[in-house]
Amino acid sequence: MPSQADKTDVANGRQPLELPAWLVPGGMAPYEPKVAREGFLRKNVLALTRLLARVRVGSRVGQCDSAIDRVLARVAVPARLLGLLVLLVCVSAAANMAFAYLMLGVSLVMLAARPAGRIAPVARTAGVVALVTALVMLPAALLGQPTSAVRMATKAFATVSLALGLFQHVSWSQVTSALRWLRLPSQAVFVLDMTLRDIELLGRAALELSDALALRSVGVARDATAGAAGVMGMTFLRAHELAARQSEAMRLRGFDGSYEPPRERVLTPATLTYVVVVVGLVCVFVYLEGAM
Amino acid sequence: MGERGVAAGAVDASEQPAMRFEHVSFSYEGHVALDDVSFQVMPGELVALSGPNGCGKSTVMRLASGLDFASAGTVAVLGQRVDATTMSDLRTAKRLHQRAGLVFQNPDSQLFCPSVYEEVAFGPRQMGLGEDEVARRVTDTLALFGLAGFEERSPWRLSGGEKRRVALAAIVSMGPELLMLDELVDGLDVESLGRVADFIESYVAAGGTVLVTTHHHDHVRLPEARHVVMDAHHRIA
Repeated sequence: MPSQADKTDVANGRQPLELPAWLVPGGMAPYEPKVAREGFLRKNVLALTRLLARVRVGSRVGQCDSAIDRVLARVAVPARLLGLLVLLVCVSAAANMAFAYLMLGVSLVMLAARPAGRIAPVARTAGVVALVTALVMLPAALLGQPTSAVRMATKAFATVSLALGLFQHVSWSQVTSALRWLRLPSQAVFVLDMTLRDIELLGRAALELSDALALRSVGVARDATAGAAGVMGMTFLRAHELAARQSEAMRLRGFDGSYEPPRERVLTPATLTYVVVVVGLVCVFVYLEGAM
Repeated sequence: MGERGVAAGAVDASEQPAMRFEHVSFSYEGHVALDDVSFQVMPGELVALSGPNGCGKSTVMRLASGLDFASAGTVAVLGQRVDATTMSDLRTAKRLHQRAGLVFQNPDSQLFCPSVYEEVAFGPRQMGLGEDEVARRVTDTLALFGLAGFEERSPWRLSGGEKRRVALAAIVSMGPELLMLDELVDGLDVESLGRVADFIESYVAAGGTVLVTTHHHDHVRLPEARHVVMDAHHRIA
C-alpha cells in the first residue's frame, strides 16, 4: 500500500503527455448531436429503475406526516404488518368491487391527510404501478372485459399505497422482529430480509447506472438495446454482489441467522383498537362477498 | 474553438467561465446539500474542489451535469444554463454531456458494457463516428491510461484502480472540453495516480478545463490547481 507521500511524489514527478489531436479542446469540429426518440426498451428500463429506486423501507422512520400516522405510530409493528397482510389479501381476493373501492377510499384518506410534499412520492409510485397494471390488462379490455383493467388498477393503487404507507414509517429491524413475532422461522425471515435488501440495492444500483447511461448517450445508438441491456445486466450483478457483501458484514458483526421478536409490549390499547378496525374491515369484506 | 450552435438557454458567450455557480442551493428529501454556493471555473483552468465528506462536492458535479437541478440560484456550464427547462431539450442535454464529461466517484456505477473496448467505444459510437475513428479513439485512450491489452476484458472483473481508469477513458474518448472528476484519487495506486495526473496536466496545458473533487487536501499536489474549499455547512469556505 503506497503511502500518501509516495503518491504525492509520483504526482509531482510526472511528465507531460502528447495528447491525440481529437482530444485537444478545439482541435475537432464542434459536435452537433443527432436526436432520436428514446427506444422502447431504454425508456422502460429507465422507468423501472426509477420505480425500484423508490423502494426504501424506513425512509420516514420516526417522522409522522399526519394525524393518522401519529395514531398508527402507537400501534405495535407486528399488528400493523399482520393487518396489512390481511387487508392486502382481502383487496386482492375481492370479487365485489365495493370492498376494493372502500380500501381505495381508505388509502386516499390516509394520503390526503399528509402534507402535499409527502403525498407525491407515494401517489406517484402507486399511480405508476396502477398504470402499468392497466396497460397489462389492456388486452382484456379489447376482448370485451373493459372493467378488468379498472378493477386491477384500483386494487393495485390501493394495495401499493397502503403498503408504502406502512413501510415508509417502520424500520427494517422492526419488520424483521415483527415477522419473528408472527412465528415465521428465522430462515424464512432471512430469505425475506435478503430479498428485500436486494430489491432496494437493485433500485439504487440501477438508478446510478441509468445516470451513467444518460450522460454517455450523447447521440443516436447504433444498437438501441445495447445500453439498456448492459444497465440491466450490470444492475443484477451489482445488486447480487452488494447483497452478498451485506450478508457477510452481518455475519462479521455477530449475526448468527436468528432474528429476535420485539421486546416492547405488543398488546397495547392502540394495538387492540387497530385490530378491532381491521377485523371490522374483514367483516365488511365477508359481508360484501357473501352478499354477491 | 469553433462557433457552436446556439442552444436553448445559452448565455452570453463573451469571456464566460467554463462553469459558473451563482448562489446555488440544493436540497433533497429535506436535507440541505448545497447552501448558497457561488464559484466559477475559467476555461483552461484546473480547480480542486475539496472539503469534508458529505459537504456537497458530488452534488456540485451532479448539478453541473444536469442530473439534478438547483433549488435556487444559477448553474451554467460551457455557456449553457443547466436547469430543468434547458435540459428538457434533448439536443441541448446531449451536447452538454459530450462537452462536459463527469467521472463518477464509484466506477461500478459508470461501467455497463461487456468489455473494456465496448465501454470506451460507447460514447464515440453514439456520436456517429465511423468505426475506424472509434477504434482509433479507443486505442489512443486506452494507451493514455495504461490500459492497452485490456480491450477484451470485462470491466466487472477489473481491480478498483483499473475500473477507475476505464471509467475515465470512457468519458475522455468522447473528447470533452471540461472534465469533472469526482474523488479522483480513490482506489488509484501509485502508478495509476501518476498516469492520471500526467494526463490532467497535459489536458489542461492543451486548453482543457478540469474540476476535481477530493476530501484529501494534501493527497495529490496538483501544482497548477486553484483550490476551492467547501465546509461542513455545505458552503464555500
